[in-house]
Formats: sequence, structure tokens, C-alpha cells
Amino acid sequence: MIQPAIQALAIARTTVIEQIRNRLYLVILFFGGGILLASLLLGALAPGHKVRVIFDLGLVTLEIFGLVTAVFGAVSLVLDETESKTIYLILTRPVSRATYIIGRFLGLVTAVLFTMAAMSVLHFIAMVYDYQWFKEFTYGWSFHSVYPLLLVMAGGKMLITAAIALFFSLFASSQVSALVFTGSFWIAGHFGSELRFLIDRTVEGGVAKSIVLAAASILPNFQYFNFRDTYAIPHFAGFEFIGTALFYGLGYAGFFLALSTVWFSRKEF
Amino acid sequence: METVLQVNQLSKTYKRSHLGRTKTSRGVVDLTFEVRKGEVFGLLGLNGSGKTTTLKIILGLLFPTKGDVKLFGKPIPHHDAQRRIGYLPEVPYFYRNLTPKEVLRLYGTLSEMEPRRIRERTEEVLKIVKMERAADKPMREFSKGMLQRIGLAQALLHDPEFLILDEPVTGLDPLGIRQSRELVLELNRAGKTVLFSSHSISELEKLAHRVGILSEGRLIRLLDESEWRDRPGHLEELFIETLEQSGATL
Repeated sequence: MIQPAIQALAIARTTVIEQIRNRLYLVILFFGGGILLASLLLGALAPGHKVRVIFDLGLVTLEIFGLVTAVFGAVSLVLDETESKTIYLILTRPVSRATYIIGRFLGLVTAVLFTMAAMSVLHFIAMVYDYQWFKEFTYGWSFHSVYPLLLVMAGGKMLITAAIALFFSLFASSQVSALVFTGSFWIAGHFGSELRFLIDRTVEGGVAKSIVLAAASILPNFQYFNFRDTYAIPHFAGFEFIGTALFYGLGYAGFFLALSTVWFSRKEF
Repeated sequence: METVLQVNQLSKTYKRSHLGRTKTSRGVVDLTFEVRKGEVFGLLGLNGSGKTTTLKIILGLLFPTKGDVKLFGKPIPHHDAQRRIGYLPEVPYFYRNLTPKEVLRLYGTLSEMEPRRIRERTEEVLKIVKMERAADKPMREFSKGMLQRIGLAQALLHDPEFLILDEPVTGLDPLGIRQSRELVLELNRAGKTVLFSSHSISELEKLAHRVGILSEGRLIRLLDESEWRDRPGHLEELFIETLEQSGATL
């Protein structure tokens, strides 16, 4: 049990180093930081809602650039690796294909979380810049406890996004298709409730509805992570919400990692 | 004599589907041969004769359609057998942003080496392939020949008993070819078994104890060193003669 874990961590470490030294990654980080700082200017355009603009725009930027990092990371590291044959030197060693998938996933998630952490520092600075406004906006919630929880929720989404991006990077035949598939899942994941509502209204018949709902459940449901929509409600049961979200995130990511492993184990090079 | 590799009636058919139509092509057909401990065995053939396919099946990168392969007496893929082999691909590709030391650390860990042993062997193999000065430079700055040397370094890192080299002299300059040849001979003298594919007849003539000639996926002849020893250029004659007799398209 120890050797596969050591091997997976070695692959994860290499993934993080490769990602951080990638010029594309640095460009993504630079643009993300730029947009976060621009939120200060946009906030000035909305008198009375300054902090809300900085707060919302910042969190959305964090998530979108986390997504971009996950997708480009998966495509540039995994799809390129299988195409460029660097994978030969890994798979000809005593390494199981499941270990490879887990290592790559851990590395990818670490790189994404690192991106988000770096950007959240900028976001944090932008908000602290106008602390009184933020305090009022959070209806008395502690500033220090709410913000990290919001980041944990955004991180949970990225856990799922990285697993999906990894799967499509293994499955897809080109970078573009991997990007399109992952992006589609990410968008659909934000409209899970609406999709279920539409299915409920439009699909007739118990069996047909069950089949369509089962198919829809393959899509991620990011509603579990939308803590920022609800955290300000008084008497909100925060830890139950967080526990459910993380349980769902780990389960969903685990499911996609299992799919990736099955697919990858049958792949020839 | 102890057998390191046994290939029995190995066949590989490639299937490719496009728009609902499946095309099949032949990789190798009913291949049977063995590599004995301590020998240098060469696979010789024209482009597309099945050399790389054979090596990839042995290494577990491709799955056989029929037949079986045993490494150190164990059917592939086998964890213990994989620890005992070192592989150099035809064109070694590496992570461009990593340095040789970093990739060797990765491959050493994947080969289940202890960290201290990895550090020691990294110094040794970089010296062997004469790349110690470039140990901390990112590999995106390397030439093809330098990458080939690092490829050899990673294949030797865990001190494997059996080396599988796919076209090891491709892309090397004349000096690099000579150094590579001397290294293979030295490793063989140190007891390593070597299987290598090549279409460079002169290299095989100088290195191999036995040569298997592949044509259109079939092993059409097995030659022993005694058949070309002390007769420079004779292996080439034997190769052409064998291909002509087999009716291969030349």
C-alpha cells in the first residue's frame, strides 16, 4: 500500500512543478490577478454596492480561473503526455495505471488550489481595503470564518472539475474536444436544479422520467457548493451544508476517477 | 541457459474505427523467440516490420491479440518483472520544464528506489552518459542527442538486469553512436541482457550475439553471431538474401 502512495505523490509533485513552470499557467495567473484588481475599479462604479461587486466578482473570477487552470492543466499534462509519449517512461515502470491517474489528479488539484489560494490573497486584500462595508454585507457574520469557508466550497467544485477534466483528457482525441466537454459539464453543473425542473415539467411517464433523471444525474450538481448564495441567512446550518457538499464532491470526483482508471487501463499506447 | 524473455506465438492486430467502419492492420504475426540471460539480441527489420510493436507488447504498452510473453518467467504485465527492466524509447520525450535531476528523481521513485539510492545513482548515470554539467538545466534547452543521453540515463538508473532499447542510435552523431555502442558492450560485459531493435545493420553486427529478422510482422530468420563473425558486411548480405527469399517487398 505504501509504494503506490509514494509513486502517486511523486507523479503529483511532478505535475505541480510542470504546471507551475508552464508559461500558459503563469499567463492565466496573471490575468486572474488582473481581473481581481480590476474589481476595485468596477466596485467604484457601483456606489452603495462596492463590496458586493468586489466580493461577487472576485469569487466568480476565482472559480473561473480555477476551471481554466484545471482544464488547461489536464489537457497540457495528460492529453499531451499520451500524445508526446512521455507516458512510455512511466507505464514501463512498476506503476499501476490507477496510481498514475490518482497521482495526476492530486497534482492537478494541488495546482488548481494553489492558483485559487494565490488569487484569494489578492481578493482578500481587495476586500480588506474596505472592511466596514464587508462587515455590513455579511450581516454580522465573522469575516474571518466566512471567507475561508467560501473558498473551501469553491475548492470542492474544483475537485469535481479537475476529475472531469482529467477524464475528458484521457477520453478525448483532441485538446479542443477535451476543453469543450469539460466546459459543457461545468456550465451544466451550475444549472442542475433548472435542468431537473425542466425534466419534471416536460418528460411524461414514470420510466422515461426516471431514465432522463438518471442521465441528468451524471452531470455534476454545483448547487451543493453555492454557499455564497445562502450563508447570510440567519440560523443557517452551515456545517451540515458543508459536510454534504464535501461528501458529494469527494463521491463525484471518486466516480469520475474510477471511470478514468477503467478507461485508461484499457488504453494502448 | 536461463531465459530472460520468452515470446510465444505472439500476434497483434490493430483495429481502428472511423465513422462506423473498422479497419484492421497487422502488427506482428505468430512471433516466437527467446532472449537468453547475458546476451545481446537484436531485432532487425525494415520500417513497419513490427520491431516497435514487439517491444511495446513486451513492455505492456500494447496488449497482444494472441499468444503470450513471459519476462523472467512471469506473464506480463508483472510488477516484479517490470522492476528488472530498463527501457529506452526510439525518441525519448521528457517533461520540458523539468531538469534531468528532477526526472531521474521521478523515475527512480517510480522504480521503487530509496531516496538515497536515487541521489547516488543519479550522479553515477549522469556521469556515465556525460551529462553531469547539464544536470540542473531545463530539458527544453536540450538537443536531440542530449535527450537521447538522458533517455539512456533513466533506463540505467535502477540498475536493471534487462535493457530494452528501441533504435538506440537514432538521432545520435557519429561520436554519440560510438559512445552508445561502447556503453552497451560495457553493460553486457557487466552481465546485463540487452534486447534492441534497429535498422542499422552495422550496429547490430558489432553488438549482437543473435539477430532476429522481422518482415511484415513475421520473424523470418534467426541468425547466430557465428554466421557473420569475422566477415564485415556479411550480416547485410544475409539480411537482403533473407528478405528476397521471403518475398518481402523491397
